[in-house]
Amino acid sequence: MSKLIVEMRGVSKEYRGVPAVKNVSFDLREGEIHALLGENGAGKSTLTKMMAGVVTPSSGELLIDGQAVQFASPIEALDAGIAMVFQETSLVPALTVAQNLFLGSEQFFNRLRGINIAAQQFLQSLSFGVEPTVYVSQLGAAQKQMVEIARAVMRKARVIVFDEPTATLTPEEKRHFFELIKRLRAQGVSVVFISHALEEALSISDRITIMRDGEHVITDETAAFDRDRIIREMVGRSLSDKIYSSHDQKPVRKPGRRMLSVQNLSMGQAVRNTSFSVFAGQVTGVFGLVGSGRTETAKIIAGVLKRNTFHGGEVYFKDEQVRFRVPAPAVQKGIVYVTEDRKMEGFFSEKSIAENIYSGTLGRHSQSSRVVRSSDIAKVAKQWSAALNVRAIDAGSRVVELSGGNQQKVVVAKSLVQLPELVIFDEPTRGVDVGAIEEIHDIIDKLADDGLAVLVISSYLPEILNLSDRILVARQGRIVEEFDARAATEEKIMYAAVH
Amino acid sequence: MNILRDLSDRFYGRGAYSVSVPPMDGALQPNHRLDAARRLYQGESPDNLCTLGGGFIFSDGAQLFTILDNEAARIGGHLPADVLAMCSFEGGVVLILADGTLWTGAPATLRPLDVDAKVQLAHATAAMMDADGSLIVAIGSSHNPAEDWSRDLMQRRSAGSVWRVSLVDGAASELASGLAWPAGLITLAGKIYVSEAWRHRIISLQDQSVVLAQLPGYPGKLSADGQSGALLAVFAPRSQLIELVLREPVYRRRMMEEVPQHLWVAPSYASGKSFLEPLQGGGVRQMGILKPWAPSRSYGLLVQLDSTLQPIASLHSRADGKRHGISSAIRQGGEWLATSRGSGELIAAAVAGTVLAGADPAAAATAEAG
Repeated sequence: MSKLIVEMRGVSKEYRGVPAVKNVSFDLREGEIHALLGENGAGKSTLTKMMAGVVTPSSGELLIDGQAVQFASPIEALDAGIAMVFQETSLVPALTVAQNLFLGSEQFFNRLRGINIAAQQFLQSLSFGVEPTVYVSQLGAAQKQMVEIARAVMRKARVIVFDEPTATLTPEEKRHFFELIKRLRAQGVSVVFISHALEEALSISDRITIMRDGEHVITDETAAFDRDRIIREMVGRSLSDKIYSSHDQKPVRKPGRRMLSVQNLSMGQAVRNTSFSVFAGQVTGVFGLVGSGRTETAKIIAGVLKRNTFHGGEVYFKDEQVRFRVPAPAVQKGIVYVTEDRKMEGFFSEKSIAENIYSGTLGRHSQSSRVVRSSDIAKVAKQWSAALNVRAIDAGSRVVELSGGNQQKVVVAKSLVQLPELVIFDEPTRGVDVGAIEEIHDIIDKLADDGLAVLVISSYLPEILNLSDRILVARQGRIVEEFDARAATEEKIMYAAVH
Repeated sequence: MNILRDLSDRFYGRGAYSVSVPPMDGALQPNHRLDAARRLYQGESPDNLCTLGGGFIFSDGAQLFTILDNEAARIGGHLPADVLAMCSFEGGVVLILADGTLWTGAPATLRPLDVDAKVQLAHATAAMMDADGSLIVAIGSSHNPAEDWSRDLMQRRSAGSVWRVSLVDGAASELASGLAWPAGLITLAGKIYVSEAWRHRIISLQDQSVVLAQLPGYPGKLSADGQSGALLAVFAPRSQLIELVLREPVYRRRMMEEVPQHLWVAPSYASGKSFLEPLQGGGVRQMGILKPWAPSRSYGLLVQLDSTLQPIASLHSRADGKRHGISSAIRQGGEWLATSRGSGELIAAAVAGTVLAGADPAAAATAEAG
C-alpha cells in the first residue's frame, strides 16, 4: 500500500457555534485520486479547505507525511505541497497566463519575455495547450483550470484539491481534464476530487469517501461502490429530526391557478431550455445540486439576471408574457425573490430592522420621489416584526446584530411587504438555527395556505420533502423530473438529480 | 411603438415570435394511463362520443355504434357521409355530416333538417344542445373543412365561428366569429365555453374572457366529466419544432405546395407509421453518445378540468404509445371513455384514482355537455 501523505484525525470545524464538520478522519495516499462525495452542505469543501489552510480546524489533528502541522494560511499549505483549485478559479483575468503563473513569486526585476518562455516550457512539459501570452479573461473554463493546475504543480504541489472542477466544463473539456488528472497521478501527485457527478467519481477515482451532514460516512475502494450504494450512503440520514418528520402526515394542497409558466428558458450554460409551472396555493420545491441552474432560473424570473438575447425562452406570469430587465417591475407585478445570499443581497446590514423591512415597500412603487415618514416605517416594521416573530431588543436594532434566523426573517418580511402573489425562496434556511427553521417553514406553509404561489429552492432534501406539495428536480440547467410530494423519497430525488 | 416591438421580437425570437411551448407538469404530468386503458372497439376513425339514455354512442366514418356486452353494435343504417359532430338530447341525437347536412331524431330514424346556408356545416367541428333546445355548432374555419385541420393550422387562420341553430326551422344566428379553430363546446353553470385550438385555450363565449390558456397541445372536444367539471380531448401536441415552422411563412407555403399533406412537419393524429415521415433521423450527441431523438408529431392527452376549467388530472399516451389523437371523451359509470383517432380505438380508463386528492371541487355548478 502507498504511504499516507495526508492524514486528518478527528477534525471538526464550527462557524459561530454551528458545526460544519464533526470529528472527521480522512487520509490520502501518495499518487491516488480520492473522490469526496456528499450532498450540498455535507462538509466536503470545509474539510478540504482545512487541509489546504484556507480555514483553521476548531479541533483535531492534521498530519503531513506523518508530521503534525497547523496551517495559518493557504501559503503555508502550499509550501507543504498542498494546493486547492476552487470552482471559481482564483486567477486574475486582466493578467496573462504567464503572469498568473508567476503571480506571488515575482522577482525584483521581471523580464516579460523570460516569464513567457519559462511559462511556455512549463505548460508544454505538462502537455497543456495554453498560450502563455493570452489574457486569462479570454480563456475557456477548461483552460483556466489548466492554468490553475499548472500554478499548483509549479509550486511543487504534491496534493491538489479540486472543488467541483467539472461543473462548468463541456464534455470535451471534461475528457481532457480527466486525462490531465491521470497524468498527475502517474507523476505521483495525489488528488482530492470533489464532485456531484457520480459517474465521474466512479470512473476516475481510486477511493471514495462519502460525507453527510458534516460527518464521515464511509471510505472504501472505488470498486466496492456502485451508483446506488453511493446514493444510499449520501442520503441515508435518519429523519428523526422533528422539523423534517411531518412529510408523511401533511396533506398535499390542491393546485390552484397556474401563476407562473416558464417555457424553454435559456441563459448560457447555466440554464438550458428549462420549462416548468408554479401553481397558486401550493409550495413547489426545487431540488438540485450545485450547477443545476436553480438559482439562475429564479433570478431570471425575478428580473435579477437576463436570459439569452436570442431565443431565450418565455416567462408567463398569470398567463401574461413578462420580461423583466430589473427586479422592480417584477415586484410591482407581484413576484419577489428571497435571496440565498442574505448578507450580500438580502439586507442593508447597517440599517435598522424597521428601515430594512420598510425598504421593501419602496420597490412596490414606480415613483422614486415618495416622501418617507418615520411613522410609516415604524408602523410597517411593527406589523411585520410581530407577524414573523422577529426577535430583537427593538425595531431600531441594526440587522447585522441579529442572529442568522432573525436576519432571514427580516429578509422575508422585506419581501412580503411587497404583497407578492409569487414568492421564490432560495435556500430559505441556510445558516439558520433550528428554532428559526421551524418558524420559517411555518411562514412558508402559511403563505401557500393563504393562496400564494410559493417556489422553494433548497439543497437540503428533508426540507424539500417536508415543505413541498410537488417537487421539481433540476440537473444541468433544466428541470428533469417532477414528483408528487406523496410519491417522492430522498433516494428517488437524488437519483433524478445525479442521472 | 408596436411596429418597433414587433420587429424587435421578430429579430430576437421573443413574444409572438418565440418558439417556446408550455410544459406538461402539475396536473398534466405525463403518464401511460391511455396506453394502459381497456380497448372496447377497434375501427378506422372513431369519434364523437356522446351519452344517450343510460348508454352511449359514437361514430366511425359514416356509421354509428354502441357497445353492448363488450361488442360493438351498429345503430341505424349507413349515413350519406362521415359524421363530423354529434350531440344528444332526450330521446335523440343531432348529427352533422361532412356533406354539409344536419340530421336529427332517434338514431334509427334520422331525418335531415334544412339549415340556413350561412352555416358551413361541412366545416363543423363540434355541436351541443343548449338549455333552450337550440343547437350550438362550432365551425372550425370558413376556409377549410374539419378533416383538413392541419392545413388550417399551417395557414394560420382565425376564421372559425360559433352559431346557434334552431332545430325547429333551421334558422341560424352567429354567436362569435374570428375564432382560431373552435373545436369544443360545453355549458357550465349557464355559460358557454369554447376550446380555441390554434390559440391553445378555452374561452367564455359570452365575454370572450380566457379561462384556460397556455395548453401544451391543441384542445378539441369538451364534455361533462360526470361531476361538476369537464373532460378535454387534446387532439395533437405542440412542440418547439412546429412552433418554429408556424413562424416561417415561406417554409410553410413551399411545404404545402410541394410536400404531400401527411408528410408535412405539422401535428398529426398519428405518427411514426411511415419511414417517409419527417424527423426519422433526428438525434443529439450528449457526452459522446448519440441519442436517437425526434419530436413526436402526435400525442394522446385527455384532461380532466374542474368546475373553473382548470386541469386537475390527465391521461397520456406518450411518444412511445399508440393511443394518440384523442378526439372525444365522456364519462360512463366508473370509467372515462375516449376515442383515439391515431390508433382507431375506443378505450376505457378507470376514473378511480385519477382525481388528485382534494381536487374534487365541491362547486355546485351543474354541467351540461354537448
